[in-house]
Amino acid sequence: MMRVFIRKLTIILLLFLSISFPASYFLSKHFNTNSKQQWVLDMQGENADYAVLGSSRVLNMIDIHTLDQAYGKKGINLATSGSGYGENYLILSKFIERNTISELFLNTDEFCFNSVRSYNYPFHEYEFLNQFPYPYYRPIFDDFLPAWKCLLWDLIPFSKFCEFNDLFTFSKSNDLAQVYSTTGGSILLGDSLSERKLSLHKYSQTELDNRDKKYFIKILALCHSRKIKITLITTPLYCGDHHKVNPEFENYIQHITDSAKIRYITFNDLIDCRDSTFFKDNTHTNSKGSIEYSKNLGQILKAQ
Amino acid sequence: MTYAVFVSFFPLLVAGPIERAWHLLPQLKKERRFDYAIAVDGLRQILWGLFKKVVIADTCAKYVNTIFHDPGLYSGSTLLAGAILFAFQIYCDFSGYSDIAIGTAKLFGIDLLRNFAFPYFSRDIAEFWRRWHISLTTWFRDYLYIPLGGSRGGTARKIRNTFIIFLVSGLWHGANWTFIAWGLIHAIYFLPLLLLNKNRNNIGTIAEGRILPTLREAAAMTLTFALTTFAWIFFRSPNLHAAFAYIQGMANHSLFSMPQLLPKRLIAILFVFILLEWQSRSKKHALQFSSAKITWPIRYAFYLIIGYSIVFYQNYHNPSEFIYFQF
Repeated sequence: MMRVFIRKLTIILLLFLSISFPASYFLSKHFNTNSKQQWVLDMQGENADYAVLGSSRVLNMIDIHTLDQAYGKKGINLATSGSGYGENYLILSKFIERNTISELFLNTDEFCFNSVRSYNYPFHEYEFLNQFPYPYYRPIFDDFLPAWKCLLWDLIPFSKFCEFNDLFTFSKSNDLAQVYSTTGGSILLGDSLSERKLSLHKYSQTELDNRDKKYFIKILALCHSRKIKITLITTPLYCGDHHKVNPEFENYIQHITDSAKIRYITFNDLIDCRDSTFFKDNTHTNSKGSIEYSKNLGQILKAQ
Repeated sequence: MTYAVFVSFFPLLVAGPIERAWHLLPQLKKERRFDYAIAVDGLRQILWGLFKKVVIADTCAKYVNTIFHDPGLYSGSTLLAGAILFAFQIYCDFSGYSDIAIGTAKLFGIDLLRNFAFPYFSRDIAEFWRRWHISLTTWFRDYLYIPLGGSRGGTARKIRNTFIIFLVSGLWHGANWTFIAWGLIHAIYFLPLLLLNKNRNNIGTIAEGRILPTLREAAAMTLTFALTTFAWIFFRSPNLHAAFAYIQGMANHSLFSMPQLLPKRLIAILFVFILLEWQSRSKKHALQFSSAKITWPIRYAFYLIIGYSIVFYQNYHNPSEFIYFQF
């Protein structure tokens, strides 16, 4: 009787597994459809003059419409919150497959080069699960996730959705997509003086992460191969009366910009970083600061 | 060795049915062989327990936590919905754990005491307490109520014993006035039945041999559910002040408005759940169906639907503990 029991249990488990394959295909159409990443990945036939790429420090701090006006070109904000270079590379590679840009402004700061320490969730695999295993994605996933996870997702595609089952949206809302379309992908932060808590940012002295370096170089190489002109930018940080940068980061950027002849624009002269009314918190400007910064950045770019 | 197994039998630890030595020790002493029918029944009970916990209790918890966190923000009808959802949450959470524990023990050929017998289909409070947390109720009966004199002696002693039993039952959940109030409310509910000698009126299964209950039965069942749900407000609230504020917020004209939170999918699931429990009310759990009556494709489809529902509703990143782990 034990044998019959085990046989029947196996049959049920196999049935469960076999149904999971078509179920996975169906579910991938309804998975996490309202995110910024999805908005970018869904985009097709977009011809922008430039794009900005990076984390929330670009998503929230560059107002595309202001920058468009000041620079005299049409741009798009591809930045996503809390993203490191691995994720940035993934977004850019998929985006330029179906869209065109001739110039890229890539955010660079010590946070991007240490995504594991800087961000709560250094690699948002769930934002790209419905496209896994897209050829570009696999090596990036392998770099950031445990090997067993990717193997499990390969063998049983349904399993990749189990961990993030709260992200299914069966009634697709176009609200977010409309917001991003209206703002060109930028999301400016509001400001409330009473809520604002600024303190001097303590710059980390930790080493730059090799994975972030690897994907930073890959972004540069991808732009080079597609003849996309690249400019590195560092968005403002609240400085108070003094301003310090992680020396390893500074040296590395210096080395890259010199050797690859890449333009680098840091925030030093673009906004008064001691003026707290420009900031929402230590690392993000509020809408007033973002507009000011974007305007100044556009003017510098135009002048050059 | 047998005694050591009795006190450390893992399905019973933390929040399993309170097992008695007279019931479990003889089973541990005798040689057990694999029994196909019992093992299948055990697996079905585990599956049903998981469904109750993951799909129903945890989904209800999302709404219940939101509503009870700040009741002042919601209309009377929303607060009522919150109280009803908590009634389902605590039942499915606790009976779900019991089902998993009892089902697991069945795989080892051990028959544990039953802990829940469809308590929300009770026609009065006395019946509710014969069907809710049975292992604790019978433990209190044997070790507290009977030593205190039970129903023997005069009316005053009966009333005293009833109050002691329910107050201790409340206190058993924790040193908080809300649990005492919960026990007190149940004692007050129970008292009229005891004094009128009607506490053993409803012994059998409701609507036995029929598909639907009579109007009288349905009304009695609804009233009992309403009374227990009211008492759950005290059980769930962080303190007595919050409980009274919750009731006050419920008792106004907004009770007749549309609830602000209306989880349509959850309501549909609860409807199916109630139907399944209703059709199984004379059995030990909702999946205890006869293999002869239901063909295997339907059975298997049913298992798969329940299995996928569990996968679909589980929360990997933020799993919620069983409520009774804290007691």
